[in-house]
Amino acid sequence: MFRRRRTASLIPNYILLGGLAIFSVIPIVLLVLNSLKTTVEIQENPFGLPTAARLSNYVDAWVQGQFSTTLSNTLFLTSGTIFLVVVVGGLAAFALARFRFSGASALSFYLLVGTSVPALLFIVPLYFMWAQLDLINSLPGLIIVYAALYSPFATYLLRSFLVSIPMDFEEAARIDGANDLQVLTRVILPLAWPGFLTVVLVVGLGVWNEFLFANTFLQDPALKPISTSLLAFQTRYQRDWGLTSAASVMMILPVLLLFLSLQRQFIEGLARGGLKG
Amino acid sequence: MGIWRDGLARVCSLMVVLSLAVGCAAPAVQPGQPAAEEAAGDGEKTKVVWWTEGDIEPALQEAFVEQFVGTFNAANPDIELEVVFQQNLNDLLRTAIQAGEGPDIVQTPGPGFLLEYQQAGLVLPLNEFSTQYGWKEEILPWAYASGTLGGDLYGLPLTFESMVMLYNTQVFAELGLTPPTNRAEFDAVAQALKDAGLLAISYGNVGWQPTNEHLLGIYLNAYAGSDAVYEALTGQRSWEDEVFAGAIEMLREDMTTQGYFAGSLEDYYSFDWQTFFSTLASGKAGMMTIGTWGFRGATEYFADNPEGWDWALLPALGEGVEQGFDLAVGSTVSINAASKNPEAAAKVLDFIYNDPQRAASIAQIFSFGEFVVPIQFSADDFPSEADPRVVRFLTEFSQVTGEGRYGYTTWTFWPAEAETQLWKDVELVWSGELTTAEYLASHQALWEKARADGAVPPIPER
Repeated sequence: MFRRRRTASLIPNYILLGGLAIFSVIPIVLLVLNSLKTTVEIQENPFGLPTAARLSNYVDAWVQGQFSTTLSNTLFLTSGTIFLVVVVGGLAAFALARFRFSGASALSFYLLVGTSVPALLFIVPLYFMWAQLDLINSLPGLIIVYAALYSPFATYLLRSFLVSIPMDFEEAARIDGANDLQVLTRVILPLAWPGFLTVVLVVGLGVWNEFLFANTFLQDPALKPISTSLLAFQTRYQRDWGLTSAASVMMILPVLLLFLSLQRQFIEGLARGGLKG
Repeated sequence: MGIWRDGLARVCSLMVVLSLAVGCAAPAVQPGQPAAEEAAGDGEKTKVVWWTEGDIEPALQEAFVEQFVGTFNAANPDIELEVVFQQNLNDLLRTAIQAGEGPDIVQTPGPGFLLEYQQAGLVLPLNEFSTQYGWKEEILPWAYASGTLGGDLYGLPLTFESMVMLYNTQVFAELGLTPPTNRAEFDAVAQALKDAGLLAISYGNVGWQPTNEHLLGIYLNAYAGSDAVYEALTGQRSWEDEVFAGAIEMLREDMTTQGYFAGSLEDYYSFDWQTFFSTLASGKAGMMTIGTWGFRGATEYFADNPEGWDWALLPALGEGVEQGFDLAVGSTVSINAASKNPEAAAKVLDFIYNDPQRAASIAQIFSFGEFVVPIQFSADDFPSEADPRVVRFLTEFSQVTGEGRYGYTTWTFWPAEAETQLWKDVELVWSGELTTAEYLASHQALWEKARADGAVPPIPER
């Protein structure tokens, strides 16, 4: 009786959540459906099923968008950036959370400012500096830019994570003779894993989709990342929407799979890191 | 610890799968790259880099590299020209050139952009090269003047354009129509097409909102007359003058009440390039008001019926106004102030302008939609496979404009802010949220501001 009443009281919740789920899923469903149509068919019938599934759109999009090149470049950029950000942000966050040193507040403020400066404000001097250092058209050069862009965010997120870990674990390790690095790697890292995972996902997603810096600092077609592949289907006056949709599906698929496989840890990380909306 | 191990295993698995997918794929061939690398390794050659628009079909890019870059490099063994097709060219160029970097040859979308670069000291004056290579004699006077800023030449027009009337010849023949030359004929033809259940003009602004300014330019020049427009451009007449108000009102009537464009304002807002060309090609519309870049679309969409289209001068819409061509520069080329090889870059520029036959062959690659340099063409200059309708345009253009029958397009001769207000706010006029008087008053204010800031592009004298 009680169970039935409780279920009934949850119906409005289910309706609301179901509506939101449909609202979220429909664009992706339409994208997949349109990826199997021609541009003409998309214009005539943007919401319906394809009359004949054009799987060749995926092959054409892969070839025209040069995905074999752009995907490998993006994987390199993403993994390189994640590695740097996790190392730099993790160490900086540990220092800010656990050590007392002069200028810690100023450093925190500097990092906060660093996360909020618009890219267009510094892209010209950065380009000048990178040109002088011969880092234009260089994937490692762009990784450094990305690492600098995302490290303040990662530091902030991880710091709030590390602060929430009780000091008792750390003190116990120190009594057992562990040094700072051992405390970080043996005690803090395993406990802060969801936070690091959140950083990996957020930074990875950001680099995967990043366009402005990639298009500016990488001019050699052989170095272009996946976010520039969508431009291959647009000419001056028209766009091939079938290929654009197919390419979009290929672009989001790895990220979607990554998110779905790690979503539990990701949500836990966001919640514990204090960034939950 | 369990979460750590599980998560790590999942990430690693995913990365391995993705890496395998990438590894299985064949590496993409990058046309042009090996040549650039070769040149970099060859210390004897002077390297000239030119970034051009990347939104050109790959097949056309390859043809351009083969026919232009290959020919230039073969003719100039001491220079290695590399043309790079860049997406988002303008944003990228703006960043690079401000940082004192970027290509040797700077390609901008038009004189307004060139003016910005010139004022910032980012492009070189070309007077000496012009004298050396005789560019003033080769380039049409109005086009040469459009790149002359403060008395010095800073840019050369790379592509010139004009607005024309495309029409479906079969529809016109079936209805016994001829291209209209004045307002009365225009109304009669439009009505005849509507009576036959067709659209008068197939056009719309989906995908490119500034399409609105194509129509504004047509109506301002064809109703008020290009003399009046010239006076307004040079500050001798206000944009609030009644002749311009009449032009804007006529366009509003034709767009909203008459439904000449796409049948209605709503459909004008839903027609994109593909729709308005397929509508014209399928005989569901009679006319299209478009720039000469539309020759490319006509060639493509009338592929099954190549003789099904032609072009005509736009009709004069006001009393005592003559038909003519509206002048437009689609893009300009200059030399980067930071270029280490300006002489070699000038040699590349001269290679574009010094041979009409070569220029015509290059423009032919793009169906005369790109790289149409404003030089004096004669019918003999064109390759035999060139479309005679396009050849007629290019030869008539220099003749008609030489007689002084030319008007001014907004994207070439308007300052940036005033131009944007013109095409953006006209939609408020069409929707009735803004009166024509308010619209033109704002426009006049922006012109006064631009004049005070020295931001008005050069206006060729009449």
